[in-house]
Amino acid sequence: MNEEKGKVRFRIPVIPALGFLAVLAVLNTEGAEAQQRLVVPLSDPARPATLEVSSMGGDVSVTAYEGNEILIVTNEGEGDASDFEDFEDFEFEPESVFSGDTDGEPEEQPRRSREGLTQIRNSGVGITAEENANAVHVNMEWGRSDVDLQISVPRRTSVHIEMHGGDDLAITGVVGDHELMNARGDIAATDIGGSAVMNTANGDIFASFTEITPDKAMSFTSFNGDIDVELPATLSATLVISAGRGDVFTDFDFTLQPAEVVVEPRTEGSAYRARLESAMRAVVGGGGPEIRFQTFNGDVVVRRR
Amino acid sequence: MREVRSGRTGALATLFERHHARVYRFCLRIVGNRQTAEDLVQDVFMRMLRYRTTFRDDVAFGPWMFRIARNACTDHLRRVAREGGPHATSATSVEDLPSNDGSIAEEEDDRAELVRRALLSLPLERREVLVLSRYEFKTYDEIAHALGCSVGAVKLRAHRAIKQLREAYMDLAGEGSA
Amino acid sequence: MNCEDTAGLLSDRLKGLLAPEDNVRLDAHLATCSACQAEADALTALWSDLGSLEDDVPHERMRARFHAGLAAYSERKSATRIGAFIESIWPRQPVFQAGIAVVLLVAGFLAGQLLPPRANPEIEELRAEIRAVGLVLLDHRSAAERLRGVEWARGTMADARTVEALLRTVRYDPNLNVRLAAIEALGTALDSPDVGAGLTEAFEQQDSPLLQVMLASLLLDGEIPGATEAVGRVLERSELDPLVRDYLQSALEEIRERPNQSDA
Repeated sequence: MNEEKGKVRFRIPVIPALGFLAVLAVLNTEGAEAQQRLVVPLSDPARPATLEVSSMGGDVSVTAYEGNEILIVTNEGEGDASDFEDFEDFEFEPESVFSGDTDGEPEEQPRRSREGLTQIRNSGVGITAEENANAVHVNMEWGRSDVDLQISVPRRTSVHIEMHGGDDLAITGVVGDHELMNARGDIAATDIGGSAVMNTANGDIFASFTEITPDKAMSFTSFNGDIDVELPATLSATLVISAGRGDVFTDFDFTLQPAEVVVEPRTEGSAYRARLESAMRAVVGGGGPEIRFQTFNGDVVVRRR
Repeated sequence: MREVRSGRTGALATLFERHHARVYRFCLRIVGNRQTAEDLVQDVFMRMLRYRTTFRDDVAFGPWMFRIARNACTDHLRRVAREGGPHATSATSVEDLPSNDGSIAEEEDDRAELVRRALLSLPLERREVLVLSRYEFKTYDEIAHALGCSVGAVKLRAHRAIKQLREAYMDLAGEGSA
Repeated sequence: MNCEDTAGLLSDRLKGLLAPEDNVRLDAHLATCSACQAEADALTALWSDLGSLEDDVPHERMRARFHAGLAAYSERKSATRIGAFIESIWPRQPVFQAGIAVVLLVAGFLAGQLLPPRANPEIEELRAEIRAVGLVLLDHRSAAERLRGVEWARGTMADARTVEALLRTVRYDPNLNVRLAAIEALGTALDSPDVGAGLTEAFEQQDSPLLQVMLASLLLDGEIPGATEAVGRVLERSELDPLVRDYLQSALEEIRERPNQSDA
C-alpha cells in the first residue's frame, strides 16, 4: 500500500486578513496571469454558510479561515487563447482568432439585479457571485472555461463543488455537509468535519475528517481511482465497501455483516465471473448510518484517526 | 429568450423544441461524433439556462446561441486534446471518424461519407465557418457575431475553407476504393 | 480577375451574396478558363453534397435528457422552499417520537427481505411510516439526506411507491452517489418487470462509467430481458471509457460461453 497516496501536491494559499489582500494581489502578478478578487459578505455571519461552485475548467481550492466573509481569488489558468493554436492555421490568418470583438460588441454584459439577492459583480475574469441567506453561488460566465479559483470561507461552511474540467479540487478545514464532484481529476479534503458525498471519475479521493456529524450518511465513489478516507476513532457506522477490482484496507475494528438475504436463490452455474462482488458491510462501533465506498478500478482504504 | 431570462425556465423547453436539431447538427459536424454531439447539445442548453442573463435584447438570438454552441465544442475539443486521447477529431486518420448508424441510405453513403470526412479534416476554425455558412447563416455578419471575429476574417476563412474542403475531398475520393 | 479569386467569388455566389457586377465578372472568367470552370463545377457539386448531411436526426433520448436537466435545475433553484417544507413537517412524524434507534433496528430487519404482505397490522403501520420518511428524504435538498432516503427505502422495496421513487432518483437525482445507491437498492427488486425495464432504460441513458458498469452487472446477472441487447448498443458508442468497454465485452463473452440452461 503506497503511503504516498493521497498526499496533496498543490500549495495551500496564504490566507491574509482583509487588509492585506491588496498586497497579495500585487505579489501574485508575476507572469502573465490575470488575477481578480471578490469579497462576498454573508447575510448572517453568525450562522453557517453554504458555498456552491460549478466550474467548467480550472482548479478549485477552498480553505477555512477565521473571517466571516467569503473571499474569492481567481487566476487565469494556462489554458488561454494560446491553446487554440492547436487548431489554427496561423500561416493564413491575418487576425488573431480570439482577440475579442472588433465589432464593438462587448464580451461582458451588464447584469440585472434580482430581488432579494445581494449580487457582487466582477468585471474582470467573468466570475460573479450571488449571495442569498448565507448561500453563496459562484457563477462562471460563458466562454471562461479555464479559471482557477481559490476561495476562503468561514470554518462553518458547507461546500458544494462540481468541477467539469480542471484537475484538482481541494478543500481544507471546513465543517458542514459537503458535496464534491470532480469529473476529471482528484479530490483532496483535508481536516474537514461534518459529512461528505464525493465522486470522481478518473481521480483519487483523499479525505480526512476531524469530526463527523452523527447519524449522517456519506458516500465516496470513484470509477478509476483510489479512495483513502480517514475517520475519527469514535466512529459508529456501517461501512459499505465495494472495490471492484481493487483491495480494501482498514485499521478499524469491525464485524462483517452477513450478506443480505436475496429474494430467490440463483440457479446453479448462472453466476458469471465478471459479475461485480456485492458490497461488504462492516459494522464499526455500535453501528449507525451507512458510509459507502465504491470504486471499480482502485483500492479503498479506511483509516482510523 | 427574453422569457427564459426573466426566469420562466419553461420557455427554454420551447427553445429546445425549435432549435435542438440545428444545434445537434452543428456540434455533429464540428466534433464528428454522435454521442459527443448529444452531450454537447445538453451542455449548450444548460449553458443557455445558466447564462441567460447575458442575453441582450439587441443581439440576434441565432448568433448568440451558436456562439455558446461553438464555445462548448471548442471546450470539448480542447479537453480531449489535452488528454491526448484517440478521440481528437482534428486528425485525418480514418479510424477516428464516426461510424454511420445506418440512418443514411447505402447508395448515398459513399459520397456523403467522403464529404463528412473531408469536412472533419479541416482545421477547426475553417470547419466552423464553413458549417455556419452552409447551414445556418446567410450573411457573414451573423457568422462574425457568432464566432466573435471580424467580417473580413470570416470571409477569408470561408473562401479558404471551401477550397480546402475540395482538396480534401479529392484526396479521399482518390484513395477510396468505392 | 485571376484564377485565385474564383473559389472566393464562387462561394459567395453559392450563398447568393454576389453583387451583380461580380457575377458578370465571374461568368466572363469562367467562359475563358476551363480549369476554373472545372473547379466551379466541382465546388458547386460539393456545396450540394454538403446539403445531404442535413439528414442527421437527433435521437429522441436527447429530449428526455434535456427535461431531466431542466427539472434538476429548477429543483435546485427552489431548494430553499423544499427545505423549509420538510423542516415544517419533520417533528410530526410519529416514528421519531418512538425513538430513532428502535426504528433503525426495525428498518435493518426489513431491509433486503420480502415480508409476507398484510401479516401484522403493527408492522404494516411501521412500514408505512418508514416508507413515508424514505419518500420525504429522497426529495431533500441535501445529498446526504437523500442517501438516507435510499437507506430507508430499502426497508419497503415491496411497495410500488418506493420503487417508483427510487426509479425517479436513478433518472433525475443530480448527485451521482445518490443515483448509485438507488441503483443498488433497486437491484434487490429486479423480479419486478418495471424495475428491470426502468434500469435497462437508465443504463442506456447514463454516461457515468461507474453507473454503466454497476447497471450492466445487475442487469446481466439478473438476466433481465433486453439487457444483452442494451449492452450491445452501448458498446457501439465510440466515446465509451475503455475500462467500461473492456468490462462490458468480457461480460457479454462470458454469457455467450455459458452452457445453455434448460430448466432441469
